[in-house]
Amino acid sequence: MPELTFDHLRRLMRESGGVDEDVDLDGDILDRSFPDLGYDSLAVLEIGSRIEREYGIAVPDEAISEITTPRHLADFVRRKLTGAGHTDNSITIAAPYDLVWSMTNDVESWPELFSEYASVEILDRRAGSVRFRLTMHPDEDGNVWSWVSERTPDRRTGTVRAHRVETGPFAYMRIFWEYREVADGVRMRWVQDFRMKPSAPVDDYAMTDHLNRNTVVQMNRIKGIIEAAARS
Amino acid sequence: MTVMPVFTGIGVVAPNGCGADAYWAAVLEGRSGIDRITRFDAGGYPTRLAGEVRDFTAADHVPSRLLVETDRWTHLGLAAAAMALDDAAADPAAFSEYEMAVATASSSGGAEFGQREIEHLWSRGPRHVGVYQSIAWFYAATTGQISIRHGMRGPCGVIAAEQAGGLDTVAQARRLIRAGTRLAVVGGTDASLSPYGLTTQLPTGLLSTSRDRTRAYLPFDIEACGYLPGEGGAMLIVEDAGSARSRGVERPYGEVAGYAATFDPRPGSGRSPGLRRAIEGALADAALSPADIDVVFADAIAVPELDTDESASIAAVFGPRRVPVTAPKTMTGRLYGGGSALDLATALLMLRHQVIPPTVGVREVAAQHEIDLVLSRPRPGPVRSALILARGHGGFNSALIVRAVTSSNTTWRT
Repeated sequence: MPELTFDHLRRLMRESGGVDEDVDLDGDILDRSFPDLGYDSLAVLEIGSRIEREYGIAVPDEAISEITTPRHLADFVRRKLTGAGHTDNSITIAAPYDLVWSMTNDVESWPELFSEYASVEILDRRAGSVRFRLTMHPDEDGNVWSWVSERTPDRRTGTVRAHRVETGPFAYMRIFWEYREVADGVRMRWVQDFRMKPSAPVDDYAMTDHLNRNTVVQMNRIKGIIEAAARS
Repeated sequence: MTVMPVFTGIGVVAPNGCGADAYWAAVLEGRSGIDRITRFDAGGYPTRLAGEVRDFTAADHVPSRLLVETDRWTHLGLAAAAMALDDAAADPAAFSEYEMAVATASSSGGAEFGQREIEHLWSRGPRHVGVYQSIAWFYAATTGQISIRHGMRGPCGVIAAEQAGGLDTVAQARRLIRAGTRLAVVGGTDASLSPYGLTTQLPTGLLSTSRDRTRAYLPFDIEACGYLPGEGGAMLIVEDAGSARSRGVERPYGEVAGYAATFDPRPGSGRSPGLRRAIEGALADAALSPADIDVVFADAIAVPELDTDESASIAAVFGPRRVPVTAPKTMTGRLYGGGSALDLATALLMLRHQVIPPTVGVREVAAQHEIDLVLSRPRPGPVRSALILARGHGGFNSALIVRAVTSSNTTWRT
């Protein structure tokens, strides 16, 4: 069993934990907390135990106690299965496709578009790719994180592939962007695959968690900025 | 002022009927729930007949989240408790949560659930044991789940005294009501018709191995050959009479009039078993004389020497053939943790409907039993009081007297 899909996770939850009367497991549940979905700590342990048996991976009780949502759990399992970090987040932006594409691919504007970047420096443009240095705002410890990425948009397929050239604490970090026309706008999706270096201050799991939290913040900000631009 | 507990609600999950009405109709018709064991292949077991609760779909009674966490015995208990509350028209939300208590009897715990997880343990290893094993198997699970489900946070407990436990829960409720509890869920269920559950019952040598479903469980009969097991039981609502009246209960099923429990002397001591002392103790507790008792629900284990102990105790207290004796459990088998609770529910239904339920299958009472056994047909009342007897394997004896609540009872006078 190579991958834990969200559908399969729903089935495991249903079979091993049952379903609370007030919850629709087929609804939008991935980012709701387990207690909110009616699953107490024992239920989450049981779901973890089922995953352990079906996938042949270790799901230690201590790890389970840190997992708060179905998405966390799926991420945890993916990381265990692939030995790497993985995130997959989407947002729908109510704006024309071309505007969403052009604003999000205008790397020079990223310090305004994202809240986390202090500056961007374009290093090179060639063969449809852009190489650039991003520098973050200082973190609470005063560290200024900076790295070099390379980004290759493909307007025809509505996708972008990017990776870190200077990887910093990552062994590798790849990002896949996808833009899809949907009924109420454009569905923008970011899929990140990575692995932390053993010397990194956080492990794959903690970074997955961090990215999942931060991605939601950045996506919402970007959505707000683009939708405001579309209105004006 | 003496606090008198009254029964205001009954929930039944029995082999011959789910719900008090369906069960009572079956009892009056003499319809038995005894049949071949179908929950597993019992072909290799000496005992192959039992009273299975068949018209019960757990998912109709128990929420999905709870289903996976609990054993069948708890499913049956949750269903019976909900029926009893409904029958009592008691809305837990209308009570303070600390005024409500739960006391259930348990004999086997979560036998079926436990067997499944133990199989996982020895066949595949400890990581394959489901986490709910930690809460599903143990004796207090049903009490705990009823307490959680209905928000009953007053004193809660479980009594493990095999077949006698159901009556003991009533005594516990009476104690609690005297101390200020307004409402208690009492009774018990059992569901040990699984390979492990049945196997643990066999070494006593008391089970019938007959293959004839109509002749396999015949207490006091010349052909008595041991008893058959069954599953299910009953839950009842016990309330302080004043509290019940004040919330509008007009017609309780009956009141707790007297109770006593004794323990048998050790085997080989030469001293008499404790059942007679329990009967006398219950009468004394009720301040009643033997003549005040209209019917006795016998423990009726169908093992000749144990039947003789029981019939001799009844005859010694009441006089030979002086009181009607009945054993409707011949239609269900002995339900262990659920057994005496179901007898109690049956006795209360009898007080409501004024007819003594039958003992099915018995054709000829053996000469040594000097009792008036109510045989295949119900016997019309009037019946105002009943003594229920229960013996739990290992030496437990309990006797409970219930009495109809009439306007002449001081407790219900308005």
